[in-house]
Amino acid sequence: MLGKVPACVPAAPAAPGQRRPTFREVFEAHARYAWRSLLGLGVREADLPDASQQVFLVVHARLEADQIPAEAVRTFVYGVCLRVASDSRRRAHRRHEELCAAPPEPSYAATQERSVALGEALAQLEAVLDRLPPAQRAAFVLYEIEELDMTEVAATLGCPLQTAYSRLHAARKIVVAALGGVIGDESPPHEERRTK
Amino acid sequence: MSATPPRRLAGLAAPGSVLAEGLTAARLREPSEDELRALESALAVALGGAAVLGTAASAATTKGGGVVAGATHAWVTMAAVKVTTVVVLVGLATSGAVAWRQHATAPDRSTIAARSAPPPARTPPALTTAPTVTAPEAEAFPPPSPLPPASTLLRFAETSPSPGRSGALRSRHRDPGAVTVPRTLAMDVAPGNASDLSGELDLIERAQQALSDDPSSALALAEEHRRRYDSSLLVQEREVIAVAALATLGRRIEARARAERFIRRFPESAHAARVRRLAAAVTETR
Repeated sequence: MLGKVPACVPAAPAAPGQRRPTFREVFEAHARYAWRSLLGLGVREADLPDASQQVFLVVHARLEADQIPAEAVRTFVYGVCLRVASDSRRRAHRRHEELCAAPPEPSYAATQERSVALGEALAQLEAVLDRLPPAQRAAFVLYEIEELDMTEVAATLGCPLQTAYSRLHAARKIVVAALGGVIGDESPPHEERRTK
Repeated sequence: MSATPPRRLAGLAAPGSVLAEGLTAARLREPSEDELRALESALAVALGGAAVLGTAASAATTKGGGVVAGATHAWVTMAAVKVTTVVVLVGLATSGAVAWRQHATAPDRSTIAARSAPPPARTPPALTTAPTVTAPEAEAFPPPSPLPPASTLLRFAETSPSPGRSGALRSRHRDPGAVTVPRTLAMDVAPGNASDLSGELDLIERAQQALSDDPSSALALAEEHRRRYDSSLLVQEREVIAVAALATLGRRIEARARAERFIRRFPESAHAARVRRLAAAVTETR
């Protein structure tokens, strides 16, 4: 794991004059969204502590080796998250059998209705995301949840911008088809990109 | 950006729709302070301690000032309390945050893996004394969990965030005007008893801190941990410390043997890379 450089990120030394961030700085700036994006990318909650630890061990190794351009730390961290999430999903699949017991019934107070609704909506969204091919899911999560811009999405995925757009578009189609709820003019992303 | 990016779905979704709500909830998820702290602790051990990341306690101090100097202790105490009582909602009144349980609604995620973490052993260790590393330790334990160590750390209910830390760590993508959310992890905790947990954490933290200045003490503390807790929640952390201490002390054969046992037992551990490095280092200096 530590030996792999995420393919999507150039392993170039930091630009001269730009101070390399310390590991602590990187951790503080990126731990929260790394955690969130791992969830979005399909890492199960039980595996999250390990997965986020893996992410930052890789980040640490690359920082030490001066292989993270200072201006691209965020993209780099997302790239590592993609890789780790992919490994984690694979491992989770292998030990699928031990994960079948039903969770205990929760107790809700009336004032929590809003949260319950959010939780149910999130569960539905995740169920759809789970059915997406990983690359489409990643494009969707990075753009729609993490709110990266499309060039960052493409850089993180290690694919051409156009490919990133078509993955996003495909994912959106499936999500909207499954959940509905879109109002107004939902211009498909692949058309808008031609306005360049 | 010369291209016009597609409008994000969240802006196109009907308010209150499943799509809008799901996206909102997904964007607002974040780890609790305790989960971040647990991650820091695990990283500190994996990376060889304070030199790189700072221990949980020192990190909290630098960020939050004197107020949180006892953060680690508070964390331990809180953990201890929560281990014994399954509290679904914590800090609700003070934080104003509403809590939910993802378990209830996201069955795919709501596995019980965390809950299946091995309970702290109550059985006396087969080999009780002597900081020797020749004990066939691996055989004395249940089969290795496929999960590396952090998964065995406890999950906590979200409590009211401590302002000093959470401010510093707030994600840049977070929408400041958004609903406060809702993330209570259910108490995915291994059964255990409060004093055991805090005692264990205390031992491991002391061992970690001793590692650079006094590896003999670190090793002794690791052995004490082994005697008292055997195969516990923090067994991997203990073994990493022991390997590092043996290596520093120049006890190369023992260090290597123990490292090899670690790798056999926890091949997928997040600590495996460090243990391999330690083993390689003692091999080189032979």
